[in-house]
Amino acid sequence: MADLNTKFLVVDDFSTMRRILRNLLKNIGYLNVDEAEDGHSALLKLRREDFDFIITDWNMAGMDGLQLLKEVRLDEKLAKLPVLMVTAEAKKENIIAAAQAGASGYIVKPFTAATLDEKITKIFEKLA
Amino acid sequence: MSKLVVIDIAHFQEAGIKNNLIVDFLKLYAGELVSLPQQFKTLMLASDYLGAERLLHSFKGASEVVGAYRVSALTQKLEKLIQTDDQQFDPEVLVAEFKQGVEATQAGVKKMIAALS
Repeated sequence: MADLNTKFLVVDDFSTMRRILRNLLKNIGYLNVDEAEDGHSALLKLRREDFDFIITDWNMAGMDGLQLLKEVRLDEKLAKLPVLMVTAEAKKENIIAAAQAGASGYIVKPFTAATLDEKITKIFEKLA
Repeated sequence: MSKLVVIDIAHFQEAGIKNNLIVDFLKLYAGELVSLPQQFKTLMLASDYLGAERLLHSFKGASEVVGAYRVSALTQKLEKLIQTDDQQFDPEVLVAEFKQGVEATQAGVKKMIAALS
Protein backbone atom coordinates (compact mmCIF):
# COMPACT_ATOMS: atom_id res chain seq x y z
CA MET A 1 0.00 0.00 0.00
CA ALA A 2 1.04 3.56 -0.70
CA ASP A 3 1.93 6.07 2.02
CA LEU A 4 -1.15 6.57 4.19
CA ASN A 5 -0.05 10.13 4.89
CA THR A 6 -0.68 10.98 1.24
CA LYS A 7 -2.57 14.26 1.11
CA PHE A 8 -5.57 14.12 -1.22
CA LEU A 9 -7.56 16.93 -2.77
CA VAL A 10 -11.08 15.81 -3.68
CA VAL A 11 -12.77 18.07 -6.23
CA ASP A 12 -16.50 17.77 -6.91
CA ASP A 13 -19.37 20.25 -7.13
CA PHE A 14 -21.71 17.92 -5.21
CA SER A 15 -20.99 17.94 -1.49
CA THR A 16 -22.49 14.43 -1.20
CA MET A 17 -19.87 13.11 -3.61
CA ARG A 18 -17.07 14.88 -1.75
CA ARG A 19 -18.26 13.41 1.56
CA ILE A 20 -18.57 9.91 0.09
CA LEU A 21 -15.14 10.09 -1.51
CA ARG A 22 -13.63 11.34 1.73
CA ASN A 23 -15.18 8.40 3.57
CA LEU A 24 -14.16 5.85 0.96
CA LEU A 25 -10.59 7.16 1.29
CA LYS A 26 -10.90 6.93 5.06
CA ASN A 27 -12.06 3.30 4.70
CA ILE A 28 -8.96 2.56 2.65
CA GLY A 29 -6.80 4.22 5.31
CA TYR A 30 -6.18 7.68 3.89
CA LEU A 31 -7.14 10.30 6.46
CA ASN A 32 -5.41 13.35 5.03
CA VAL A 33 -8.12 14.67 2.69
CA ASP A 34 -9.16 18.17 1.73
CA GLU A 35 -11.98 19.24 -0.58
CA ALA A 36 -12.71 21.80 -3.28
CA GLU A 37 -16.00 22.43 -5.03
CA ASP A 38 -14.73 23.25 -8.50
CA GLY A 39 -11.62 23.60 -10.60
CA HIS A 40 -10.98 27.23 -9.70
CA SER A 41 -11.05 26.71 -5.95
CA ALA A 42 -9.01 23.51 -6.41
CA LEU A 43 -6.28 25.41 -8.25
CA LEU A 44 -6.18 28.05 -5.53
CA LYS A 45 -5.72 25.36 -2.87
CA LEU A 46 -3.15 23.49 -4.95
CA ARG A 47 -1.08 26.65 -5.36
CA ARG A 48 -1.34 27.57 -1.68
CA GLU A 49 -0.81 24.17 -0.02
CA ASP A 50 1.05 20.96 -0.73
CA PHE A 51 -0.99 18.03 -2.01
CA ASP A 52 0.14 14.60 -3.18
CA PHE A 53 -2.89 13.39 -5.12
CA ILE A 54 -5.91 14.93 -6.86
CA ILE A 55 -9.23 13.15 -7.34
CA THR A 56 -11.48 15.28 -9.50
CA ASP A 57 -14.93 15.03 -10.96
CA TRP A 58 -15.04 15.68 -14.70
CA ASN A 59 -18.28 17.58 -15.05
CA MET A 60 -18.40 20.75 -12.96
CA ALA A 61 -19.66 24.26 -13.54
CA GLY A 62 -16.97 26.93 -13.82
CA MET A 63 -13.72 25.09 -14.39
CA ASP A 64 -14.38 21.42 -15.12
CA GLY A 65 -12.13 18.50 -14.27
CA LEU A 66 -10.49 18.30 -17.69
CA GLN A 67 -9.60 22.00 -17.61
CA LEU A 68 -8.27 21.60 -14.08
CA LEU A 69 -6.14 18.69 -15.25
CA LYS A 70 -4.74 20.79 -18.12
CA GLU A 71 -3.98 23.70 -15.75
CA VAL A 72 -2.21 21.33 -13.36
CA ARG A 73 -0.08 19.86 -16.14
CA LEU A 74 0.88 23.38 -17.29
CA ASP A 75 1.94 24.47 -13.82
CA GLU A 76 5.58 23.72 -13.16
CA LYS A 77 5.03 23.16 -9.44
CA LEU A 78 1.97 20.92 -9.88
CA ALA A 79 2.68 19.21 -13.19
CA LYS A 80 3.77 15.87 -11.73
CA LEU A 81 0.85 15.44 -9.33
CA PRO A 82 -1.20 12.29 -9.92
CA VAL A 83 -4.72 13.13 -11.09
CA LEU A 84 -7.54 10.57 -10.95
CA MET A 85 -10.56 11.63 -13.01
CA VAL A 86 -14.04 10.65 -11.83
CA THR A 87 -16.96 10.61 -14.23
CA ALA A 88 -20.52 9.36 -14.52
CA GLU A 89 -19.97 7.82 -17.96
CA ALA A 90 -17.27 5.73 -19.59
CA LYS A 91 -17.38 7.41 -23.00
CA LYS A 92 -14.45 6.40 -25.20
CA GLU A 93 -13.85 9.98 -26.35
CA ASN A 94 -13.72 11.17 -22.73
CA ILE A 95 -11.21 8.49 -21.78
CA ILE A 96 -9.04 9.47 -24.76
CA ALA A 97 -9.34 13.19 -23.92
CA ALA A 98 -8.39 12.53 -20.30
CA ALA A 99 -5.40 10.41 -21.32
CA GLN A 100 -4.24 13.03 -23.83
CA ALA A 101 -4.50 15.74 -21.18
CA GLY A 102 -2.33 13.68 -18.84
CA ALA A 103 -4.79 11.99 -16.47
CA SER A 104 -3.14 9.37 -14.28
CA GLY A 105 -6.33 7.31 -14.08
CA TYR A 106 -10.04 7.26 -14.76
CA ILE A 107 -12.87 5.91 -12.61
CA VAL A 108 -16.59 5.65 -13.42
CA LYS A 109 -19.40 6.30 -10.92
CA PRO A 110 -20.71 4.41 -9.07
CA PHE A 111 -17.60 2.80 -7.63
CA THR A 112 -16.63 1.02 -4.44
CA ALA A 113 -13.81 1.61 -1.99
CA ALA A 114 -12.11 -1.48 -3.46
CA THR A 115 -12.17 -0.04 -7.00
CA LEU A 116 -10.92 3.32 -5.76
CA ASP A 117 -8.14 1.61 -3.81
CA GLU A 118 -7.16 -0.42 -6.86
CA LYS A 119 -6.98 2.70 -9.07
CA ILE A 120 -4.93 4.65 -6.51
CA THR A 121 -2.56 1.73 -5.96
CA LYS A 122 -2.04 1.33 -9.73
CA ILE A 123 -1.22 5.02 -10.06
CA PHE A 124 1.31 4.83 -7.23
CA GLU A 125 2.85 1.71 -8.80
CA LYS A 126 3.29 3.57 -12.10
CA LEU A 127 4.95 6.46 -10.27
CA ALA A 128 7.33 4.23 -8.32
CA MET B 1 -43.59 4.73 -13.20
CA SER B 2 -40.12 3.20 -13.21
CA LYS B 3 -39.69 -0.15 -11.50
CA LEU B 4 -36.34 0.97 -10.13
CA VAL B 5 -36.27 1.56 -6.39
CA VAL B 6 -36.23 5.17 -5.22
CA ILE B 7 -33.26 4.57 -2.96
CA ASP B 8 -31.18 1.48 -2.35
CA ILE B 9 -28.44 1.49 0.26
CA ALA B 10 -27.42 -2.18 -0.08
CA HIS B 11 -24.09 -1.24 -1.71
CA PHE B 12 -23.16 0.87 1.33
CA GLN B 13 -24.14 -1.88 3.75
CA GLU B 14 -22.25 -4.51 1.73
CA ALA B 15 -19.16 -2.27 1.92
CA GLY B 16 -19.49 -2.28 5.72
CA ILE B 17 -20.51 1.37 5.99
CA LYS B 18 -22.38 1.96 9.22
CA ASN B 19 -25.95 3.28 9.28
CA ASN B 20 -25.03 6.58 10.92
CA LEU B 21 -22.65 7.33 8.07
CA ILE B 22 -25.23 6.29 5.46
CA VAL B 23 -27.69 8.65 7.15
CA ASP B 24 -25.06 11.37 6.96
CA PHE B 25 -24.67 10.78 3.19
CA LEU B 26 -28.43 10.74 2.69
CA LYS B 27 -28.96 13.96 4.65
CA LEU B 28 -26.32 15.69 2.58
CA TYR B 29 -27.88 14.37 -0.61
CA ALA B 30 -31.36 15.45 0.56
CA GLY B 31 -29.99 18.92 1.20
CA GLU B 32 -28.67 19.09 -2.36
CA LEU B 33 -32.01 17.98 -3.79
CA VAL B 34 -33.80 21.07 -2.45
CA SER B 35 -32.45 23.60 -4.93
CA LEU B 36 -32.08 21.33 -7.96
CA PRO B 37 -35.55 21.71 -9.55
CA GLN B 38 -35.26 25.51 -9.44
CA GLN B 39 -31.71 25.42 -10.82
CA PHE B 40 -32.86 23.15 -13.64
CA LYS B 41 -35.91 25.32 -14.34
CA THR B 42 -33.82 28.49 -14.51
CA LEU B 43 -31.38 26.93 -16.97
CA MET B 44 -34.07 25.37 -19.15
CA LEU B 45 -36.23 28.47 -19.36
CA ALA B 46 -33.15 30.50 -20.26
CA SER B 47 -32.46 27.92 -23.02
CA ASP B 48 -29.10 27.21 -21.38
CA TYR B 49 -29.27 23.56 -22.40
CA LEU B 50 -25.55 23.02 -21.97
CA GLY B 51 -25.81 24.21 -18.36
CA ALA B 52 -28.91 22.07 -17.81
CA GLU B 53 -27.18 19.02 -19.26
CA ARG B 54 -24.15 19.64 -17.05
CA LEU B 55 -26.34 19.92 -13.96
CA LEU B 56 -28.20 16.71 -14.83
CA HIS B 57 -24.94 14.89 -15.54
CA SER B 58 -23.43 15.80 -12.17
CA PHE B 59 -26.65 14.96 -10.38
CA LYS B 60 -26.90 11.60 -12.17
CA GLY B 61 -23.44 10.61 -10.95
CA ALA B 62 -24.12 11.63 -7.36
CA SER B 63 -27.48 9.82 -7.43
CA GLU B 64 -25.88 6.62 -8.72
CA VAL B 65 -23.31 6.72 -5.95
CA VAL B 66 -25.96 7.31 -3.29
CA GLY B 67 -28.18 4.55 -4.71
CA ALA B 68 -31.00 6.82 -5.90
CA TYR B 69 -31.45 4.73 -9.03
CA ARG B 70 -34.91 5.88 -10.10
CA VAL B 71 -34.05 9.56 -10.28
CA SER B 72 -30.70 8.67 -11.83
CA ALA B 73 -32.54 6.85 -14.66
CA LEU B 74 -34.91 9.79 -15.08
CA THR B 75 -31.97 12.18 -15.16
CA GLN B 76 -30.24 10.11 -17.81
CA LYS B 77 -33.42 10.15 -19.93
CA LEU B 78 -33.73 13.94 -19.64
CA GLU B 79 -30.03 14.41 -20.34
CA LYS B 80 -30.33 12.41 -23.57
CA LEU B 81 -33.41 14.39 -24.64
CA ILE B 82 -31.58 17.69 -24.13
CA GLN B 83 -28.52 16.39 -25.97
CA THR B 84 -30.44 15.71 -29.21
CA ASP B 85 -29.62 18.07 -32.06
CA ASP B 86 -33.23 18.81 -33.04
CA GLN B 87 -34.19 19.67 -29.42
CA GLN B 88 -37.80 18.66 -29.99
CA PHE B 89 -38.87 18.92 -26.37
CA ASP B 90 -40.99 21.20 -24.29
CA PRO B 91 -38.76 22.70 -21.56
CA GLU B 92 -41.77 23.12 -19.23
CA VAL B 93 -42.59 19.40 -19.50
CA LEU B 94 -39.01 18.40 -18.72
CA VAL B 95 -38.89 20.83 -15.80
CA ALA B 96 -42.13 19.38 -14.40
CA GLU B 97 -40.93 15.79 -14.85
CA PHE B 98 -37.64 16.54 -13.14
CA LYS B 99 -39.37 18.30 -10.25
CA GLN B 100 -41.69 15.32 -9.77
CA GLY B 101 -38.75 12.89 -9.84
CA VAL B 102 -36.77 14.93 -7.33
CA GLU B 103 -39.79 15.22 -5.01
CA ALA B 104 -40.34 11.45 -5.10
CA THR B 105 -36.66 11.00 -4.28
CA GLN B 106 -36.88 13.45 -1.38
CA ALA B 107 -39.78 11.42 0.04
CA GLY B 108 -37.86 8.15 -0.42
CA VAL B 109 -34.71 9.54 1.16
CA LYS B 110 -36.71 10.89 4.10
CA LYS B 111 -38.27 7.45 4.69
CA MET B 112 -34.90 5.76 4.43
CA ILE B 113 -33.34 8.17 6.93
CA ALA B 114 -36.21 7.50 9.32
CA ALA B 115 -35.79 3.74 8.92
CA LEU B 116 -32.05 3.92 9.59
CA SER B 117 -32.18 6.37 12.48
